[in-house]
Amino acid sequence: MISPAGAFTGPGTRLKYAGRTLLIAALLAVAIATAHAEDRVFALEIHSEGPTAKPQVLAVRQNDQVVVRVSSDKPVQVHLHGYDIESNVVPNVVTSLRFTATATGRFPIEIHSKEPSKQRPLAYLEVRPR
Amino acid sequence: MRAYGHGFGLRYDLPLPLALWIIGAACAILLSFLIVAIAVRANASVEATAQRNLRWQIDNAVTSPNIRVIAQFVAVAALILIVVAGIIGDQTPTRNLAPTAIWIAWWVGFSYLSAFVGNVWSLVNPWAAIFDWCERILPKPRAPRRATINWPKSLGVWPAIALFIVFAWLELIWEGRSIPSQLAWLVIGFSVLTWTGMFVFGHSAWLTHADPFALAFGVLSKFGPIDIRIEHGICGTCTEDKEKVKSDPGEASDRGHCYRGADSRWRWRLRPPGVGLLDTENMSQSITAFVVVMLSTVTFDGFMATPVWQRIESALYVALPMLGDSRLAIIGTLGLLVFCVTFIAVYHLVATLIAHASGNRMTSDAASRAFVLTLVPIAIAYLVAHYLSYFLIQGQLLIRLASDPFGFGWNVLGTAHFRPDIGIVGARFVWYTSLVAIVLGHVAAVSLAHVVALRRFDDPRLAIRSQIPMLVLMIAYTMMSLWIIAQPIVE
Repeated sequence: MISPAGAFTGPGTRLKYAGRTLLIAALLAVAIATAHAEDRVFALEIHSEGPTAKPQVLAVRQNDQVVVRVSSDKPVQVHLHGYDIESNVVPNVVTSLRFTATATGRFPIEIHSKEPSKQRPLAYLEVRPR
Repeated sequence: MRAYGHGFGLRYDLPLPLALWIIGAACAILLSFLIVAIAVRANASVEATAQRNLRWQIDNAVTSPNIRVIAQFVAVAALILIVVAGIIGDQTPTRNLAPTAIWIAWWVGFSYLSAFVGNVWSLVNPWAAIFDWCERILPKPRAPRRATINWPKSLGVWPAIALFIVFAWLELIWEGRSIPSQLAWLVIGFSVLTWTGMFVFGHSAWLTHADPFALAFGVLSKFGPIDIRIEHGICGTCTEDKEKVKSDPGEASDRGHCYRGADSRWRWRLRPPGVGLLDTENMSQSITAFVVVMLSTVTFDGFMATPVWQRIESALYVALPMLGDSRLAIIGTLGLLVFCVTFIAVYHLVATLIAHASGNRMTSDAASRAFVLTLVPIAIAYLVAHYLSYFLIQGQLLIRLASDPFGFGWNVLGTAHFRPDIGIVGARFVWYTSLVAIVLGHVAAVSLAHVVALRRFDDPRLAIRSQIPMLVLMIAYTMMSLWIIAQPIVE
């Protein structure tokens, strides 16, 4: 097929255009493939009364910016293991834990309360490799 | 390990993805059959290669007796430091040297050291060192030779098995396992027990029959490439065990425990990894049981973190309210014991099948003794898959603790504010390392079992046929290891 460009340019220039197009296409492909890190937002609700729910799994990819919004009906302390992020949560106020998920792994998010009973983790943060 | 000591002992591994699970399982099975196919043709040549344990002697500064004394001093100092830290230090597990030093540096560290280097523990065992120094320094009693009670032959190593199960219980279920002071008292109690045992039965007899760690690290070190032992015939200089040595020279020198006056006769030799597991001369029924129990506790450790166990635990928790507040501990203990018993029963069954498949040329007892060590590579592979990232991540606590072992706010080496890097190894690295380790461990186990079979039976076809039950067991054991690391970790 003769392209319009080919009708007016010589073979050498055609090659140059082809080369540039290929380069741009390649760069685009790379950019799409290494999808840029996203912002991930999760909500965790803590109910002190009621059955202990199965721990949620918050799945993110490595280097995502993560925001975990925690709300509780009683004052508690929330602890994300591994990243070692701790925060006090008071009733009626949504507390946000913000961090970049640089390390891969499965990290429990636990509640520290007055009773030292066997606590299931509130949730697990799973950071998956890209 | 569970997180009672809040935050201490957690593992952050991601579950192995399904695709890798399938690849691992497929590789393990395919390679098993490949090895069988090769073995059918191999016969004599395999035998000869295995016999030719490349015995390159290592004779350099590391093997000098002076280095050993220094290492023993370091071990003893570490022991004292750990106990002191446990008793007087901050009781937060991550701020105190004791929990990290014991469970990570010592238990996992020496397991790796034993499996991949050699029986280093037998050289630096601080309890043995202290006992020996005291014996040399303290004035001798009037009688020319202190009478020690002979170890009853029928007891075998059963006391060590009992102690090892207790140790596994302490490691996996005991609520005090991350509390520094409780650990310190435990160490003190163990020290008293060990020294009393050594005093009553003799240094060597106690270590070879009743010390669970000398045995456990000894079993693992049979895989290791460095064979550390005392030359045969040298033990005659060992005044304490002279009588024993005359009748049983193999046992005395094999473990390398009688070393009084023989420090200069230690030999370090290089050998291909795993070859030490072929040495089954001194396997007794009780030692066989010890190996199986050890493997079962290692597997139970991983099983306890799986959702399946958690469901079992919850169901029993609800169904047995009469057990009261320590329900979880009791359920855990039952689980541990059931695992041990099940492993022993299954292995006994496999040994019986091997004997049967060999046309009864071998008794099931002989079969169980001959093949038990060939399962060790699978356990070692599992130790790598299960503990490597834990060792590398939680082990970094030692850097901080080195500057502040008691949690008093010191900064002796300037590293007290070091923050462990949880990203030091990524999930992909852990997955691939685990997979490669498990497949290689499986291959090693199957190969070694075939070598043992070829040695025992002249006819290669008979040897292969006798191996089928073992092959099935090994594949099942490897599948179990793979399954465990593919489970999401739940506390």
